[in-house]
Amino acid sequence: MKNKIILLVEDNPSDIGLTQRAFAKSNIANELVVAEDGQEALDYLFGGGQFTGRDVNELPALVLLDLKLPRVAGVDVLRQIRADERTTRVPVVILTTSQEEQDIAQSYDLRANSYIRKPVDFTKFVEAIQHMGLYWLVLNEPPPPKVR
Amino acid sequence: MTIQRIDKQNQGALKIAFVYFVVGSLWILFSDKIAGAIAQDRNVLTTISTVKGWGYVIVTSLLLYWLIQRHTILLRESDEKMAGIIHSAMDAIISVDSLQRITLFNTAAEKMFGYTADEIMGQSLDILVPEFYRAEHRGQIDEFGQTGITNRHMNGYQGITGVKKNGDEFPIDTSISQIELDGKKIFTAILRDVTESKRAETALRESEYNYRSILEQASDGIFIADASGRYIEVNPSGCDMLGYTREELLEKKISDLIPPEDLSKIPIRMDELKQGKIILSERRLIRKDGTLLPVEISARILSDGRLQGIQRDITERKQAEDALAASQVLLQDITDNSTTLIYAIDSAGRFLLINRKLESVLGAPRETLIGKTREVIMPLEIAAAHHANDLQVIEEQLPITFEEENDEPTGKHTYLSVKFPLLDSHGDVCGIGGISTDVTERKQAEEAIHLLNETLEERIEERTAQLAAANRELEAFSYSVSHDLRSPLRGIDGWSLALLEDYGPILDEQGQTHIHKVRTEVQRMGMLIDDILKLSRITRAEMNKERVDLSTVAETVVVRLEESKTEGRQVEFVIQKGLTAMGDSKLLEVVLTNLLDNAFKFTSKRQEAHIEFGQTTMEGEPAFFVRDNGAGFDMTYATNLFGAFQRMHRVSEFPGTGVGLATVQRVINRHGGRIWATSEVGQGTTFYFILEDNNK
Repeated sequence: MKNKIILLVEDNPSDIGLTQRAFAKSNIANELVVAEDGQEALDYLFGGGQFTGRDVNELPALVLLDLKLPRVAGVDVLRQIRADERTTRVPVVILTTSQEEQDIAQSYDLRANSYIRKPVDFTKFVEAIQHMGLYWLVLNEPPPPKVR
Repeated sequence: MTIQRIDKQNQGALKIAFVYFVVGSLWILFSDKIAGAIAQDRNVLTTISTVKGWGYVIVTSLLLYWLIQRHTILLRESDEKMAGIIHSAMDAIISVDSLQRITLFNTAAEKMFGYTADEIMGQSLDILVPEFYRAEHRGQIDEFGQTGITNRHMNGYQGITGVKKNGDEFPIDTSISQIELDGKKIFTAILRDVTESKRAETALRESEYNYRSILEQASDGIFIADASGRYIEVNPSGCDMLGYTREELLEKKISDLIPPEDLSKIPIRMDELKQGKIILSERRLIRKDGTLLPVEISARILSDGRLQGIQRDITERKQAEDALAASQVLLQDITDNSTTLIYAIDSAGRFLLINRKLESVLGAPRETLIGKTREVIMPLEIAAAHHANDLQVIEEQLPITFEEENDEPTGKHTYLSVKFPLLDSHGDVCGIGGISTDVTERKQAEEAIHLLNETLEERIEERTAQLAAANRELEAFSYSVSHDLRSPLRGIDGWSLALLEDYGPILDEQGQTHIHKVRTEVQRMGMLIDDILKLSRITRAEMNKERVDLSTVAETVVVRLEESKTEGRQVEFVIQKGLTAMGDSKLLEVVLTNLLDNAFKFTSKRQEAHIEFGQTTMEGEPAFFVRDNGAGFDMTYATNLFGAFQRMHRVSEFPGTGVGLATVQRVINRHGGRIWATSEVGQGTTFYFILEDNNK
């Protein structure tokens, strides 16, 4: 079985690097696709912009979504994912620095599947990534694809 | 009288008899002598004697005839005269014999009793007397018969009544006489029907009584004086009001009671009185005690020349008049000295009263304004507006307050006018009264305040908007702090670790320690940022006040602390049961969490830690407290105990950011309460706090 793609939507190169490092340390073999802003994430999912022609039926197994993003904000990306029939079931985990109540509440209102606050302590961050990978990629039963 | 007349008649008869006796004697004595002288012849003498005898008889017979005839005529005339008198008499005349049988019953009696003389003649007098009285009446007549008095008036017997044929009884006045003829008594009664006169008498008596009663009861003094002015009659009120007895007053003259100066000022108008006019005058009379009594006198001269007067004590009226005059002066003074406009207007809209202030506002002497309508005095539009208000007051019959305007030389003035209905003596509205206060300045001030208020609201809105913007900025700041400030930290930590992991082998121990220190500081920075965010969140959080069970909250915290405590640590928690307070449950939980966390932290070096939460009384108020037997602190440095980032201990001793107590104080402040602490180094610390709404 081919390992599915994980879509990381993150604009901070430092965080991208650390996340990639954490994935590597957690022995998660899935391909990590990085979208550096909200628009790029949407282009990837719906086959627009630089991703024109991509088979949009090939959905990522998991979307790791930061909230504070250039161009299109994280909550708007989430709203569009949920609004589109094709992507509405894709597991989306909010992975962000913010612990603001309004962010958490809004994310869940838009049917985020999980909300993880990135700890400052990198050791803990690696632990969190490990737990998350185990849960979403192994334990969790993925949603069935939508029949066209 | 009658007896005398009878004697006179007897004398006349005696005279005639005497003359006859003398003449007869002379005739007898001398006739024969004369005859003897004339003739001696016996035969002639016998013849002469015979002729003489016959002549005497004839003369005597003629004389006797004449006498008897004359007497008979006289007697008949007398009888007829008598009968005429008797039957034409106005009074009833009834005669009875000694057995009281009726022997005479004249025409008046017939009329009075209703019997005819024929049917009653010979009947007993009893039928004319009421039955109950008959026996007594009979006795009275017998008794009268024995007295021998010829004549008696019977009106001494009150209430003598007769009985008519038809049975009616009626009052009579009677006199009775008796004569004795041939040894038989005849009683004659003259009766008069006094029904009418009785009635008249009663009426007179009543009238007299009424008059007397009125005179005595009258509250006015009533007097009658003779032509010279001397009192003849004075009623009790007349005496009382002057203080004299009746006897004293009857010795006085009217002029005695009038002060001389008054008499010249108000003379008695005799001329008019003599013309029969009734003169009404007011004057003063001197009382017995010398004081003056104001009276109103109505006087007239009676037909017999006497002066009749009715005088009324008008002391009260005078006083009332004086009081009225005084109150009018007072009213005038008050209205004229008022700074408000005071006026009265009749139902036709004409001014009845204008005070001096209104006079000055209207700019014309009030004498020229009284009786005129507003339209003549004021601009038509304003007059119409004011008049409309008057009409409303008249219609609703209630005092109403209006705001009225008037154009005056000094500009437009605003008045607050209280207008009220004026009532006449029947209680009907006959106009309005008004009191108008010039509120122009107040009005202007009000407008200014109103304007100020409006701009104030604008300014408040502006400030609120500014505040809202500041709040938004603050939120944005917190957001970016929480987000943007933390990511670089994570980067520093992450890459430091990566450095350690990837290049650890080529770093010496010193280098590795440096990297560890970098990481520790990063962690601390992260905690600081988290605590600052918490503090700001608490300041902004919405408060929902409810009754919070603090004991239960404390117990929850204690459970968590027990779980986190390191092996072998001995901590005794004492939580007082059932403590509650009004407040926001989340925020109060923050308070207890911080205080208990602190207590737990600062007792970490105690063998036997003791931590207590309870309630006590401080300065008369119930205060909650959290007490520990931990490290304590020096109170000298306690001034900034609750300041943010203020710490009493070294990080190496007890870690912390110094934000916890600042957070606690902010929560307590938001509840309107206060918090303070007592502490001693090495002995422990107690935090006390009071929530304003506690137990309310």
